[in-house]
Amino acid sequence: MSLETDIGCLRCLPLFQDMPASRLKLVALMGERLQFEPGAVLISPQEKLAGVYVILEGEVEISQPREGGEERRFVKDTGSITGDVSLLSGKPFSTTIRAKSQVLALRIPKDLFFELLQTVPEFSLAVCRDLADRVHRLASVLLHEHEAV
Amino acid sequence: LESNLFRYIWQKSRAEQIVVLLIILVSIPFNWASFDVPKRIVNDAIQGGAFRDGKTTATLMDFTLHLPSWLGGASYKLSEGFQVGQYGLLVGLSTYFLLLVLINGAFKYVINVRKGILGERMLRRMRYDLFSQLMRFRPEEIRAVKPAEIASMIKDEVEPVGGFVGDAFIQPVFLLSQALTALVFIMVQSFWLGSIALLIVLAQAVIIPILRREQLRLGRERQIASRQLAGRIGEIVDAGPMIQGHGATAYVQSDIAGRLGRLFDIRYALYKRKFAVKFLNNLLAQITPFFFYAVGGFFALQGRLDIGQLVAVVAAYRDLPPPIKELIDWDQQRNDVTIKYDQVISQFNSDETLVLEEENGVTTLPAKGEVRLESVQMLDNRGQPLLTPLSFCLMRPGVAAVVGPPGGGKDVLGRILGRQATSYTGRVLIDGEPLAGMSVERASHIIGYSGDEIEIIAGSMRDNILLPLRRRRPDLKAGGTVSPSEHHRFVEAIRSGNSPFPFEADWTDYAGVGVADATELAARVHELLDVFGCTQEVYELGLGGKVTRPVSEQAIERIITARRVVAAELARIKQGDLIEPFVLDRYNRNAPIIENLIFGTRTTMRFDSTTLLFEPYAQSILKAEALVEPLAEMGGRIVATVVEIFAGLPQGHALFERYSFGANFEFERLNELAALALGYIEPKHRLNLIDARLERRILRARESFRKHLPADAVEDVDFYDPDKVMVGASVRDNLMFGRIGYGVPDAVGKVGEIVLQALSRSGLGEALYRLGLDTESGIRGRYLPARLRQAIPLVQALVKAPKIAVLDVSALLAISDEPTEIVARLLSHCAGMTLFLLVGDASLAGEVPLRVVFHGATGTVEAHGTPDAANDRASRFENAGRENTGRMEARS
Repeated sequence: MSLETDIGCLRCLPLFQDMPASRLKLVALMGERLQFEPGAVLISPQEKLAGVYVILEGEVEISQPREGGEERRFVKDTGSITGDVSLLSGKPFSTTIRAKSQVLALRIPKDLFFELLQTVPEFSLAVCRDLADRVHRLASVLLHEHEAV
Repeated sequence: LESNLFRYIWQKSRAEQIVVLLIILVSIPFNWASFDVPKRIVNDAIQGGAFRDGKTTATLMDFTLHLPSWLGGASYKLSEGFQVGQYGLLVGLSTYFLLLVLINGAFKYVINVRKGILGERMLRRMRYDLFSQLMRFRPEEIRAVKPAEIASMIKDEVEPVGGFVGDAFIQPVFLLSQALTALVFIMVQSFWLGSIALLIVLAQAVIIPILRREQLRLGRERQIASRQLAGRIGEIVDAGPMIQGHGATAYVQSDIAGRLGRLFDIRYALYKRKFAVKFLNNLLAQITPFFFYAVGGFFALQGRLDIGQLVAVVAAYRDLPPPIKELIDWDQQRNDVTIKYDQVISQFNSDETLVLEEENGVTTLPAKGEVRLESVQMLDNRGQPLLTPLSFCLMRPGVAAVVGPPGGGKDVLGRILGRQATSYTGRVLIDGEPLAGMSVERASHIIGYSGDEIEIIAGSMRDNILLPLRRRRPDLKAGGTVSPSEHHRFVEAIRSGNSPFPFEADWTDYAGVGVADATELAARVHELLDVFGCTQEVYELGLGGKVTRPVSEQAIERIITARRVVAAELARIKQGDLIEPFVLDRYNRNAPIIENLIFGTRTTMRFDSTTLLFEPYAQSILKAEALVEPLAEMGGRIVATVVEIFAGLPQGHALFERYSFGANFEFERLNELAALALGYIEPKHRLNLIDARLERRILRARESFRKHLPADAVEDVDFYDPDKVMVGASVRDNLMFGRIGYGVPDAVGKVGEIVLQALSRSGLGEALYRLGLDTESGIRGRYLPARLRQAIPLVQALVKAPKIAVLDVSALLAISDEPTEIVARLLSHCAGMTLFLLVGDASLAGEVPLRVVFHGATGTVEAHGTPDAANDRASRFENAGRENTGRMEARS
């Protein structure tokens, strides 16, 4: 697995699709490329996050324990960025993220993440877009729930 | 300290001075004889004076003892001597002269050596006395002195004093006797000429000192100015990085330039004076012969003086100026040295010094008692309160929490209780005994203090932790036989009034702190580190510690065992890819190219990656495998990539640093390109630059590098071998014997855990812990991790098992993960002691009944649920205190 393939992966992600090639290379090079077996925990709750994860291959599962021993699970697939909300807001992570299949992830360490945000405008724009997209989706979900009630 | 230099010298070196003086006295007859013999050689042997009147032989070596006339004037012939001819007499007298020259030389040698040693001993004593005096200063005074000034005083300023000591009494006696002899001789020849000589000598003796007065004042000024220069430089060096950071270098440079200019001016004036005095001195000395010729010639013409006498007077006068001149030089030196001495002594004569030692040993406090503060108050030098009057009482053993923000009364109270501040009013009573009156030794046994300022001195962490226990005078009689060098050291130390106890001896006071031996003490240190939650860090330091020669057989065996345990453990938890081990015939993808090439620890800089291409042997190997080109090409591609991805980012950016190859970028030369390539690690840098073919070639180069390594490079490389310890590498590297794999989540943490487990399982845990404690702490502990730096003073305070502990834990708690646990462990550890716990945050103080809460300089005593009278006593004293402040305010 070389840089070229990683860059190929990154380019496919909606998050990075508008980024120039040289910047994409920078992100790919600076990140740590990590391999997770199915079932391995990427992030556990209340953990002080060391970085954000970009899932290059495979699926991850987000689970949140609820009252009564139930768990709520979501599946997030390739191309999403995880941990940015927690890092940006400074709040501890509230859910568990687990590899559902073989997962290849790019971890961008915390200080690097902030450095990239500050110095690479394309990167910060991409993160903003991703966040905005999620806020939009969240808002529409809330709106629908409200209507349903 | 004695304020008069001469009295000091005489008191401390009387016996030796007298011995040297006696040796000089004994030497005088021999000296006189050596003047006398040449006259006999010329008159008797060469000119034949002894063979007049038809004598053909002369008597040699006849000794006759004459009694002085007041004893009857009898004479006894001890030896008849023997008869010799003129040649025999010449040879005999010349040999006699040679003998006298040798004897005089020997005398001179002995006198000079003795004078030198006398001076050195005195210098040693003086420096030691000054240093001891410094140790007696009150803590605030020690804080107030500038280290560089004190060092310059002890080291440089007293140096000339030492050189002077040997001459202090001997020289003037010796020179005066010489000068007086010449003067008396002249007087005998002619009273008038003698009077002229005397007059001029007297004029010299009066005028020169008057002129010198200004010179002395300048000398004093020079000494102070140069000392202040030393102090200022010391200060600036301390704050050096800060000054650089603020760009104030030019400003402080001009400060130093100004001081140097001032020093120059003083020295300039001094030189002018000095040579003016010298000129006058020479003039007076040379003007005397003028009087002799003029006045003496006049007398001779008148017939009142014969020509022979005049010639003798002029000849005798030739012997008068040198001793006078030397005497004046001696006087100059005396003045110089006295000023230096007075200057230094005045700095060291403090009004109030502490009593250092207890005369009859230290008596411990009983188990129960009380600590009472009676309107303790402290003002700063402007009269502003640092601590407003405070009173409370704490039954011993007991705990009091002192709560407050840093920089307020909490710190001041801590310093007072820890006896670091003594300029307070009011009283601190421990079982009724005032703290201020205790000797340093007694207070240090009773109180363990760790305050807001970290004091860690250079040396290992263990040295620092055990420093408080270095208080038992070593037993000088123990050990039976004493080596000659040890004996010499001891005798010299006593002669110079220094401490005779050897620094290398074991000073540890085991009994005084309630442990039997070093093992129990080590256990206590371990326990204390546990209390402060720092044991893990010591282990980590041990892991980072380098394995250095010599390595004992046992250590090698243990390390190899532990290395196998690590490998086995990794295999067991199926995490083989966590570490990629070093295998002789396999390319290690997680290690840089250079490591794959050399396959060993580089113990020197010889095979450093930045200069590898210049190293003839390495170059020949690389050439033989045709690796130079590919490496340069790789370097080129790395540069191209780096330039591409960093284009548009400012130079020297942090991102740039992160993607490092262990070499600095300067893209011009082939060598640097290759150096870049040598730091390349495929899984880390991921530029897809290494293929199987290149790996094979590097492996071949590895093999030939190993095989043909020249004999002179054996010391530079320590090849990897699973059964050998890697000397020069850290313990961690030794145990992993491989490189941590990139791409495995949290590999470093996991490896760390596994390594630690492996160590404790193979019985190396203790050794590792010891290695950790051996870590060099650096000045103010700068080589230590932050938490240990905070914990060491606390461990120091508690390791001596004090009856009263005053611990400022706020800084440690602030950076600790488990502050409440630390406080809980600390409280249980200090169960038998009286603990003053200084914390910043009241919630961390736990269930402590007595609290002193500070707002600024004012403390309020809060006692929760204490049935005794502490509370109302405290409030009563507090009221008294308030009145006090009220009065003070009214006055001001």
